[in-house]
Amino acid sequence: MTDLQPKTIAAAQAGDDDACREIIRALHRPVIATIYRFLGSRYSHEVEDIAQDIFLKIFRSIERFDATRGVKFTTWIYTFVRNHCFDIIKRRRIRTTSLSGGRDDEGQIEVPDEGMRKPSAAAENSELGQKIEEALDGLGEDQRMAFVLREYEGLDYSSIAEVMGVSEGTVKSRLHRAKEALRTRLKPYVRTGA
Amino acid sequence: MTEPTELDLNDDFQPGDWEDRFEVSSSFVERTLERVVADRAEIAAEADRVEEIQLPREVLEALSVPEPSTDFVDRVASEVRNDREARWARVLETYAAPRPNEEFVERTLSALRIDRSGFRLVPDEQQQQQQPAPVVSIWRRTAVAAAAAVLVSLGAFAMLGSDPAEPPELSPALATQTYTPASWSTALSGVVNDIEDDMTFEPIAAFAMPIGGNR
Repeated sequence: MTDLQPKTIAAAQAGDDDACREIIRALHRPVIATIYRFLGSRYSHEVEDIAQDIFLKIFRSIERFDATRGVKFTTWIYTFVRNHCFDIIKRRRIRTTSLSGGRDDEGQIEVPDEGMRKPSAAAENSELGQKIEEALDGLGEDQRMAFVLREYEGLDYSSIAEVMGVSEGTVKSRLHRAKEALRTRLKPYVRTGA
Repeated sequence: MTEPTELDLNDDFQPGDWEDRFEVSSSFVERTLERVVADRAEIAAEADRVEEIQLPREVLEALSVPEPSTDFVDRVASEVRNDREARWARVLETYAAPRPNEEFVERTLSALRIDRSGFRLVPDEQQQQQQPAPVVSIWRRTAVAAAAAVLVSLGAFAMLGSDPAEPPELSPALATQTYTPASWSTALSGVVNDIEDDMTFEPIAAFAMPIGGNR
């Protein structure tokens, strides 16, 4: 995600419609992709509505963004994405599917819930894509978000730490565990290079 | 359902009251802090120990993302604008303009009077108590006009009735005063000065008169 020009952000803060549109245009793809990869294909039918809600929250609070504090605008945006996705999971009490049947980062027992999966949406991905989604689903929420931000969105450790509200060491640790779990679960595909 | 406790029934309960009701180990803070520090150290050590695992990019890219709708940007931009307008409307609906008290109104009106007169503040009550602006009465004006007319007549009479060759001091009627144009103007100036002295003219009060001079 490329960072926007400060003048564009300032114009949006002043309520300029064109600047708001430019920000949406620049950020909507990575925002939608992050939501989709984090929540999974079961949300594919409402991923745009979720993205829209996030943008509404962003523009309701955009006056509070302060570039002088050293935080990138894109990092600030991902904070909204992360918080909104976590809220959705908590509000709807989604039970994430775990391949290992273990516990997530919050110590909750993960219960498979295949009934929530939308077959048609899942079918959009290849078999490998579905396997990756299942593997991601098996991670805890914090690990999954850290992994998506790092591997798909290309954020550095400090930015992920900013988004997640934890230290860089915690980010590294979570990423390591997430990748280790994914490598194990995707072993056949990794071996053959898919 | 459990019966309400004493705490539930006590409306004056404050969060700080818990300290008096529950025993907390004196070492709680220290023990918790030790755990926090140890946890941080463990995380930092793990972060240093771990090597970043590289997963094949082509594998990860197999998880594709649906293409956004073509009208997504326009739709969201429109929603953002509508949301902003709706929030403003709500703010304006809930805004109750403060009603000024009487004292504020008086002060403001007085300030406006200052501004319009450019001179000083005179509240209405004070203005009403002030002396009316000096107006020379019609009788006084008539008297001045009559005096002036008499003087002019006397002067004309003296000029017409006297022999130019005869010195004016020989005329018994005019023996006490010599009437020349210069003397007449001096006399008239004296009369006017007397009248002006009688007028209690107050320039400040004149400035304080309302616009248009109506009282």
